[in-house]
Amino acid sequence: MAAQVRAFCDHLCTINLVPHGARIGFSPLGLLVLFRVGVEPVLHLEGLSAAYGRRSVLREVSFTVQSGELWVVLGPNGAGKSTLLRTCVGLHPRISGQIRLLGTPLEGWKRRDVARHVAWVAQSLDANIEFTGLELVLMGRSPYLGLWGLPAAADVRRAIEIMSELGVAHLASRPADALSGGERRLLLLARALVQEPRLLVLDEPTAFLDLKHQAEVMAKLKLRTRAGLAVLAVVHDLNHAAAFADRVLLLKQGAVLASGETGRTLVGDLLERLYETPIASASAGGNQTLFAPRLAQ
Amino acid sequence: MTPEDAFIARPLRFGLARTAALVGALAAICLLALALSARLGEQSISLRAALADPTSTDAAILWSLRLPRAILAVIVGAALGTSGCALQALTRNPLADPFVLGVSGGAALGATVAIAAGLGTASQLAATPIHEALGRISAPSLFAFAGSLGATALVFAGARSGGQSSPYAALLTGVIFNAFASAAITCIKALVMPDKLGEILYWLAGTLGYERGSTLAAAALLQVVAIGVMWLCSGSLNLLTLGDDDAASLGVHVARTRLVLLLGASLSVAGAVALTGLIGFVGLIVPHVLRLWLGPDQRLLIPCSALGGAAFLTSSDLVARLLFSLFHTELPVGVITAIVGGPLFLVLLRRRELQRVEGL
Repeated sequence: MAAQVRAFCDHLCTINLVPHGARIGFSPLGLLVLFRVGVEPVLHLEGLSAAYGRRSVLREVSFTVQSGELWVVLGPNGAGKSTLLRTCVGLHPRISGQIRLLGTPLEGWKRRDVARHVAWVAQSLDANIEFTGLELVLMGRSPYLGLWGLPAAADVRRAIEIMSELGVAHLASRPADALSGGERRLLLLARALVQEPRLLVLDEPTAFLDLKHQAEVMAKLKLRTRAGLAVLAVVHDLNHAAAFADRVLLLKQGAVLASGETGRTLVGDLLERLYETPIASASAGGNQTLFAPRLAQ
Repeated sequence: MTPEDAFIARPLRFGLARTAALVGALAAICLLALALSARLGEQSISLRAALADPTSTDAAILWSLRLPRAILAVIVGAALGTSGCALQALTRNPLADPFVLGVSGGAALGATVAIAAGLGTASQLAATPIHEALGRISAPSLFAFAGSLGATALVFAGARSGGQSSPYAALLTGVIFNAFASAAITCIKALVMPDKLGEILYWLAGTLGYERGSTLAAAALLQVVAIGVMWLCSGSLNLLTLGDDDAASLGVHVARTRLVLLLGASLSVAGAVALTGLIGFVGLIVPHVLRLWLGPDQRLLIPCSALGGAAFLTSSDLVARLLFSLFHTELPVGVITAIVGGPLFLVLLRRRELQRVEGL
């Protein structure tokens, strides 16, 4: 019964009946109640610059991701999107600027504590990994476990729950190297969610996924932001950004071209400047906008 | 455990009960190999008689020949198996073996220099109060130990760039260093007297000799510490096999963990190589076979590789000794490890591939 109630409340959130920063649930008396989820800055970047050797990759990037927000980073190939994500979570050194995680400078955090608050998912997983789906997902619990990472029954249940939610529970005993790119992708996402992070940093979460799974993954991420999770994702599909992002960041040649609310930032002329190609947009009914490159005849 | 729990636990290959069972079973195999190795040989002895009468010939053979050699095989086999396993995971390269990071080249070069210079024992290096202590250590062993550690340090310094060391750069530097050392050894071999050449070739082939108790105790202690450190890091090693970024994002201190593991593996191999020279194949084949059998979990593989390596080298040495009557000379144990291990590995690999095709 409790699960059905939760599913119903979740449904109300996904159909945008509940405003941003709010959550709906059942009170003990059985009444539907609306409550506010506290909004706080989870990740704050100030004048961030990074480089590979002498080649500058990021220049003076600043933005703030609040809890409950889904941010999408857009930009052409080589714009520095992946480096931005890696730098945010401390995987790539910065040359200047500040990163604050939950108000504390990143350098003041221990690696393990960062892993309890931030989950990062790479573009792809090495194709030769022989761990089973469940073993792989359970690795997400390792920031909470002891030296050998021996999971308790509750950890295993949590992993299975999240795998079921993402529709990959049947991969529990299959080795990852026998799976498709899309299946591995979903397992990585499950691993990140099992970390129970406050901030989810995703490098192309929908890459390798079919159309149905792309939309499902984005919708599930969106749903989790309603419970307070902050998401920062690099996405290539403008339509996903339009449909799901609260805010977008347009990154061009390592610098921020524009950032802000999706409706105001994801507009034709900015996108044409970003990608240096003509882009057509059309309304697809409701408040959904579709984008496509304008092809030369 | 409910049926649902059983289903959930099935895909998890690491658990305390399973690890204890596997480690227990492998330890029993290891003990069996040790006992057989002590009993059998060109002249088989009775263990009961040897233990009952300390003055008998059987006792003399057991305590001064068979047992020291079998224990040496256990120590060296465990070292090669574990360090091979750790290095395969650490370099993310299934072809890595304990010698891949320049250890073989460094050890061989060190020993060759010592033999060519005519140094018999380490006491010839210093005429001081430690003279007597050094007199018990052979100079080639000491030089091999120092050479392998020096080579590893050199390879790591060479592979570091911008404060980070990539496993691939380390691997390549190691291969290049081994090639360089091999050229230097060829050069020395061309210049030395024929009597010393024989000694050099004997050392390079890798043989199990007869060490005194104190040397064995020191070697065992070194291996217990080195293997223990590698086992303690095996949880992080699992995460490192996913890639450095994945491991770091899951809370692993990548540089520190890698350094500790490499130090453990290098010390372990250096300790083994100093005693026996270069015994090939154990460090490559044992972790491979175990991975095919047990899966990729390092928490299970590290202790099992130690025991598996020990059992494999002890058995191989027993076979080498038993074949003496056939060939009228003792084959280097490395020949046996390759002849036995190669086909076994191919059979397991084929079985695994068939399972994979059938969808496991």
